[in-house]
Amino acid sequence: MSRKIDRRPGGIIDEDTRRQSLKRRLDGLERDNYQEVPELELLGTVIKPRRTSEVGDRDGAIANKKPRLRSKKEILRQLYIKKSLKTLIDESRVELASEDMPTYLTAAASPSKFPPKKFCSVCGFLSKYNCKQCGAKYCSLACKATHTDMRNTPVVEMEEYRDEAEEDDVEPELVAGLIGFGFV
Amino acid sequence: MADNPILVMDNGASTIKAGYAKQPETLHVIPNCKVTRGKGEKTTFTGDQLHKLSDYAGLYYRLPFEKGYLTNWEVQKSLWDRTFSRDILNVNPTSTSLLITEPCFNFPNIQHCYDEMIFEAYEFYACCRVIAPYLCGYNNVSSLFPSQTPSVNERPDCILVVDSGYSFTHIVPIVVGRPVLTAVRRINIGGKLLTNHLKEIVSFRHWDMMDQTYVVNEIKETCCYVSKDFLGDLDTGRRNPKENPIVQEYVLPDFSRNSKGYVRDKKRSSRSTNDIYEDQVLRMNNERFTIPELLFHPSNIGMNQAGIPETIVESVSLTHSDLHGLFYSNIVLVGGNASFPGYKERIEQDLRVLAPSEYEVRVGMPENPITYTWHGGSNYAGSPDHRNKLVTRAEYMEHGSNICLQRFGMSEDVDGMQE
Ligand SMILES: [Zn+2]
Ligand SMILES: [Zn+2]
Repeated sequence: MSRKIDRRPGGIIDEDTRRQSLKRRLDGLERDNYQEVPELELLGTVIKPRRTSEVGDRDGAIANKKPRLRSKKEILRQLYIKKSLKTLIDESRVELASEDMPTYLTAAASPSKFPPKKFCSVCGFLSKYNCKQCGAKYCSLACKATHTDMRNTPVVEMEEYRDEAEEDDVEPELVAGLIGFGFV
Repeated sequence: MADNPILVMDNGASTIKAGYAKQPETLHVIPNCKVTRGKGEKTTFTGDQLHKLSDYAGLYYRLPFEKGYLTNWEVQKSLWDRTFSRDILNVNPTSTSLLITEPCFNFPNIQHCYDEMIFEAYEFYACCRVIAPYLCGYNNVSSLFPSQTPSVNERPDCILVVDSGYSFTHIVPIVVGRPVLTAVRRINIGGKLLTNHLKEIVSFRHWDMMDQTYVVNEIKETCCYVSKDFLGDLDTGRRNPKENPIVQEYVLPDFSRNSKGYVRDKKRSSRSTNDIYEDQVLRMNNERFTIPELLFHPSNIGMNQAGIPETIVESVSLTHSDLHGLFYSNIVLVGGNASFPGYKERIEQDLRVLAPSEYEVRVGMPENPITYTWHGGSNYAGSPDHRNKLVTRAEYMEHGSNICLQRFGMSEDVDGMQE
């Protein structure tokens, strides 16, 4: 498995990029056919242009009047206009709901009160170290080598970084960090 | 009107649970997806036809739901057509009353699509649309909690439904049949994410299985469990695989030989190497329990949300303080993820630590956490509560979606207490 990572050749991946990578990774886990991240999606969300002439009752205010008499074909044609959930959420204007009204947005569970554990990006056991270049966690030199081998070879030589392992200065359990195989 | 049959349909993102009310023998559990072999292939397998496949590699899925909400009506209609067909339930919509579930906090524009599809495209005689946890409460919930003094009420006044499904996990407190919407909480982890994460890990560490969602899901259901001692199990996992109780050897299915995947006996495997077929073996170690652990600690993959036990505490804390004890002692676990071995025990164990010590913690789980909602719906069908919510097609054609918004809504007091 090789996931593509946004990075400048040989450079250190900055915080922003790491955060975006994490978000994409989590989004990837929601995909129906999660196999490869399409190139285009790496560049940001692709929004299909909408044919404004075809957006009827599904947009704007909900009909609070008699349904128009339409043929079944016409009803289905409108229902079949494919919209992403993101578009539908935007169009629902749920973010404009009054503060004391519970919605999808207010129902999200709060963050944990406990600090996250950190796992080796290679073997999945607890990790103590992280890669200086991409922030991925690893637990041992063997796993570090695998990590460097599998992820960085196209861009940087493995040897270059072998000695740059840095130990976290705090107990692993107490540090806010991540992840399976990911990025801080 | 009393003569119209009531079709109960728990329309989940992973499976449709459909059957006629009071006739549990008609209940069907149908995969809510269409599948082709590879992208762009013509031959389509719809819902239950998925079971006819003999080779589950390289399937391309089309699902009506995106992140738990119904967004693809074309796919959904073909699955409902199949469900209503003579092959399965033989539904005649114009004389049938439909009781259907929708996700919590469904969006009004999506709800409008439900109404159009049900009343205008299918022309159902009548419809009632409710959230799944609401129907759970119409079961004999008290029987899930064995006690010396049998409860007078089948249905406790307060129950806390933990519904962990395919797309996400919801914690829903219910007071005398009414969900306390201000206290409902959602964790963005469900079975689909767990399967995809396992797929990713297995493909990175062992075999490339990125195009084998079906097989990886089976591995998840066969091998994964919820750990009662996560750090301890991680230590054990580090030990020599030969004497390591956690390590399992899963023999991958070989579709050319038409064999199913299974966990093989570790002791036997070492001497049967002269078998003419070389088994493809996947060694499952910490993957067995780190995957379901995400339900308890989403932060393990960098998601900034608390897991189930902490979120139960958050949800209860948002209800009226007089009710906290009642919620902690009537927790009901439903949804596909409840089937992980150790799930119930772990929630009990963590809650005992997190919940205030003066409250009794009781966690109940039905025998089948996937169909429990349907059975609740079957009991609910035809009740006065149901009749009050029902909208007929004639009413819809007169008043439009507005009448559905009014009747199907869950009006309630802010924290679940009457003033
Ligand atoms: Zn490691
Ligand atoms: Zn790195």
